[in-house]
Amino acid sequence: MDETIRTVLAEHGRLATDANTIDDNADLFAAGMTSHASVNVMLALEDAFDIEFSEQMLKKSTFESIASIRAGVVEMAGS
Amino acid sequence: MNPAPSLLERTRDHSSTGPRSRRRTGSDRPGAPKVRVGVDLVPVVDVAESLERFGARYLERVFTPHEIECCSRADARTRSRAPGYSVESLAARFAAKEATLKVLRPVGWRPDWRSIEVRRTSGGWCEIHLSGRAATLAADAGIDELEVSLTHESMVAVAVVVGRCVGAGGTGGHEPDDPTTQGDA
Repeated sequence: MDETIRTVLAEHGRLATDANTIDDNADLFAAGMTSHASVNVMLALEDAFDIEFSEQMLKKSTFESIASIRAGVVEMAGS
Repeated sequence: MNPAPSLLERTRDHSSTGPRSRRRTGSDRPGAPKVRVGVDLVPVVDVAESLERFGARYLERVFTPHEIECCSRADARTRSRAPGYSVESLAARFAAKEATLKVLRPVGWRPDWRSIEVRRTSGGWCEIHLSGRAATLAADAGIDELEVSLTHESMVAVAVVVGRCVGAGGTGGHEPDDPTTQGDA
């Protein structure tokens, strides 16, 4: 799962640092991810994991780190 | 009869009363409404790439049917780089949504993008209409009026939103904690 998340971030996150090496808990917005890029990340994650983020999941904290994205994907996949 | 001093003259008079005096402008006079301003810039190519990669799913998750219709290629005033849509106009609307968020200052759960709608009036001007959580945030902050201005070139789109805050909510509201909704564009 983490490899897929990092691949999505590398392709869509517009990060200023390497998505393959960034720390699990690093702040992705501080690393350069824009609000518009976070929309692309959300859509790409939905494609990759065959899920759909609910409106309640569309908060900054869901997409602020690899760890929080992982938790969000697990939550949506289990719902 | 001497004419009434202009606002600029009154401000100059006030600021010349000594080094410890504080210049008092329109929004901090007692009883005057507070103003919040948000601005955002979106590269047009970002929207073009999103549209190309995610298609209708991108449009429908971010924009309202009215916004999609306004940005359709059928609008003769736009030049589209993506089939069917003016990506410049879509980018301007996304910038307006983000600029509005900077005015609303949500904490945690962000409003649905579609709850902030850019409506084109019959005169060609645009207005911001809020619904759902975005409307709740505005009400909580005492924001009773929003004005928006959009512009775009072939590379970038920019939007500025001004919100007028009245009542108790205008002095505080939701504190911003989201770097994507603060002034870092």
